[in-house]
Amino acid sequence: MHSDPSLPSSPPVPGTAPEAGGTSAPPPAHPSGTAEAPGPLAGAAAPVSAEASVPSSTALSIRGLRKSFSGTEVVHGLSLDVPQGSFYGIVGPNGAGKTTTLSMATGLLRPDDGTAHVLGHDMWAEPQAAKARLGVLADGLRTFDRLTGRELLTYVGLLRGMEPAVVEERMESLLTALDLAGEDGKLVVDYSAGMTKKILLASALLHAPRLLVLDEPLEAVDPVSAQVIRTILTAYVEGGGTVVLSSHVMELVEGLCSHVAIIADGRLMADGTLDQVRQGGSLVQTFIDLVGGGDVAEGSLSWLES
Amino acid sequence: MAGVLSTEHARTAAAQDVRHGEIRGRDLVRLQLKLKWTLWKRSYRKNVGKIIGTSIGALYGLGGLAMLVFLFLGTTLWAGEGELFPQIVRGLGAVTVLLWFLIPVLAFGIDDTLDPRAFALHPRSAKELQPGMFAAAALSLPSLFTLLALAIATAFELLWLVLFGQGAGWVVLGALALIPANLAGLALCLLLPRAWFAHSAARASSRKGRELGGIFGFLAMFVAIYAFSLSAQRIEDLDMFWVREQLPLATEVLAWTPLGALFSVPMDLAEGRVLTALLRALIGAATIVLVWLWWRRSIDLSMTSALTGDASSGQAKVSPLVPRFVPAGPFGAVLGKSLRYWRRDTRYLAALGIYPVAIVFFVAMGFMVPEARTMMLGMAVFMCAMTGLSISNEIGFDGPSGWVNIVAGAPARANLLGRIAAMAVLMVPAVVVITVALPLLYGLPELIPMTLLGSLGAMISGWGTSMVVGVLLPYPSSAPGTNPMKDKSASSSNAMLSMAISMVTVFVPMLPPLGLGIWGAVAGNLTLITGAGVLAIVIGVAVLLIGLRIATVRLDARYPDIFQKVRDHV
Repeated sequence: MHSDPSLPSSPPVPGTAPEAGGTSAPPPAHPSGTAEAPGPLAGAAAPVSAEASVPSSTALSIRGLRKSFSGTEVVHGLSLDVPQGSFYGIVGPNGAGKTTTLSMATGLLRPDDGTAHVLGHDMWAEPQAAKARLGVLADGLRTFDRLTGRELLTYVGLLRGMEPAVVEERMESLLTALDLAGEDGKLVVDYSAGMTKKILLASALLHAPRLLVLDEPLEAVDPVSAQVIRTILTAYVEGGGTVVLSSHVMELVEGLCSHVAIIADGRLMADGTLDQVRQGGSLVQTFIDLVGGGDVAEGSLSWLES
Repeated sequence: MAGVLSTEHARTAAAQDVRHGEIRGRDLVRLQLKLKWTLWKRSYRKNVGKIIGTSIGALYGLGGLAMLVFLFLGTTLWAGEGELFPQIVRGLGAVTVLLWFLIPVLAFGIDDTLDPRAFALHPRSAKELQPGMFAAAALSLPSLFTLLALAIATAFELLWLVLFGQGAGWVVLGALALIPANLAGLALCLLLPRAWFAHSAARASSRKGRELGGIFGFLAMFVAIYAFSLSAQRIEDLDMFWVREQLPLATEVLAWTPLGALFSVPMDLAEGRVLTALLRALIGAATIVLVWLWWRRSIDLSMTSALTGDASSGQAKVSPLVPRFVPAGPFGAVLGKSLRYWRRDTRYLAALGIYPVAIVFFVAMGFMVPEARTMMLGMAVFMCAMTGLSISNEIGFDGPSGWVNIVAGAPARANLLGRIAAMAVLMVPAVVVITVALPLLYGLPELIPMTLLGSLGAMISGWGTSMVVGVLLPYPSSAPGTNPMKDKSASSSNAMLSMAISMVTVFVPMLPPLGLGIWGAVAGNLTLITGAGVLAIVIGVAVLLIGLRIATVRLDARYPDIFQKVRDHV
């Protein structure tokens, strides 16, 4: 059952070549058999080793990313492979390091150590090549919200060096698809949370990237907008694109993603296809087994029942 | 569900009693005071700027108190007559109430730690919350200093009563009224601004309305400052005797208004004007009751509308992002974005709004004081140089939004040059008009080449300086739309360092033309003066090119790291 940890830990999906991977990586020191919580999962869903070479066929390959803030390390040498054409969910409790990891992978936060490759291009060594293939939606950060939706999209498109006519054409189709075309003249600062996520998604999609990294794309989004976003993302993956999204809503990831990684305390606990990680149970159960906690002492809230 | 109730269940059932959750008024006040005190203490944690600011404020307060002591000494013991003192007390009282109202409303806002909207979810009515909120309002440094000032005033009023009172009966009456009247005056000071702010918060206003309101207050303050210094130029023309004659009338009128009524009651009694004292006490009491009720009504309103205030802000004008005169590309996009921010973001708009006010001041000053005209021209050139520094924290102004530029791989040169171009589009025409029109108005047309070229040169040099400083020393700014008077971003040590350095670096390159200009002025040589202008523009362009180059290289290499420094607005 133990696969070579240097191989991509997921079975082949369209666009993924199984021959990729190094040979020099030493086997990690996993406990065999079932995973003891909390601790990284063994078996098919075992995490990638930091020394594993970067496969040529992944959409995103992270190797040994580390980050400390004022002396405290919050991401501890995290490695991850996202196969091309996958819908990849990264889950973890609040403060697990999801956003920090994705910030380092998308060029927003310089890692202390480690690399992130976007479709074979090192984000920190050749950022222009990596960024051209990557669309990003950051969570919890403002955008240039004193622009209208159209102005923001034009700004992002022209900044990326796209032809004005192409920007115009794609902008109209994106705004129509996301049901924002009627909001002409409204500044993004006056948008609702759902509309803001949608315009940010449009900004991330405008240059037709092959990899989308979305931090909490459905947080605070109303059900109607969420459905629109889901439909667009699913179609994007069916068309050969790769989506990486972070969330702490397990049901969302279980319903949407083909692959999943569980991060806790700045470490990768498990990754692989949904079934590999779930191991026959539910994602929520695997998650709680790996991360721990979640029990409410019986009777402690009995005064709430009447 | 039927069965024996556990203790918890019994308690739950008891909790459904209507009276559940009641709290005694005194306990609520104590809770609110404690909350205010805790939050106030914590606001100083890791906030060196605030500690420094408070210390400076406290020093000023102590200085003010000392001045008050000397003023009172001068009008009681040292004067040997008791005529002026009551007028001073009445006048100062009215001015105190007025300032307590105007300073928060026009300028600094109010400490709204205990915002009534924060209590909207709790089962407490405005009536119950109000005493505690009032007590918490009294718990602040300004009210402490006002209280100290009142204590000093009370002591001197007693002294005055003993020395100059009109007979024992009146003195006793005045002394009895003294403390209640002065405390009531302090209460009015605390109540007025709070009632006003609660009222304006309760009105559902749009984002745009709120933001523009802040700008108007800011500009009004500058107009007031300039108007004051203009009138100060005329002060020697004033007839001091006329002032001495009008002062009693003015204080008498003020004492009949709600502003001055309360503080003048003890003085009236001491002077034996019992009817006046009664009427003024009535005016004061009525004012306090009305303001108290007005405040309560607004609190009630704002507690049921905690989430309003985000009403629609209307439609922005729809036009292409990139102006027609530039090609559509990264440079054009940044230019278009910056132009829109200059118009839609109060942080920029306020900087832009200051200049017309200042220019009007220069013109007026030049006409009122003809001998100051050349100095006013110098000031105008100085102002133009300062406009260049408006863009010295551009990356900090982007703040968290900078991620959009980073993930889009924005070319650093276009990113910086576009911002300069936007500033140029706005400022160059204005500078040209001002530096040509001002010498013409002053009747000094021969200085036009110097003012025009000198201003442009200083401004262009300022752009170059701004870019370097903005990339090397960015500091977190306030969020877009922040009221310029409540902008606390400039108080951090990084901000002070950054601004000090940009001030110095914008003037150092301008020293040669400045020297040349002074030489020309002393020698009366127009060629030298004009040469100073030419030199300024040559140096300005050089500084711009070098600054832009340095900033571009740095931004290309370190944008993510610069972004992390400013990714949170203050």
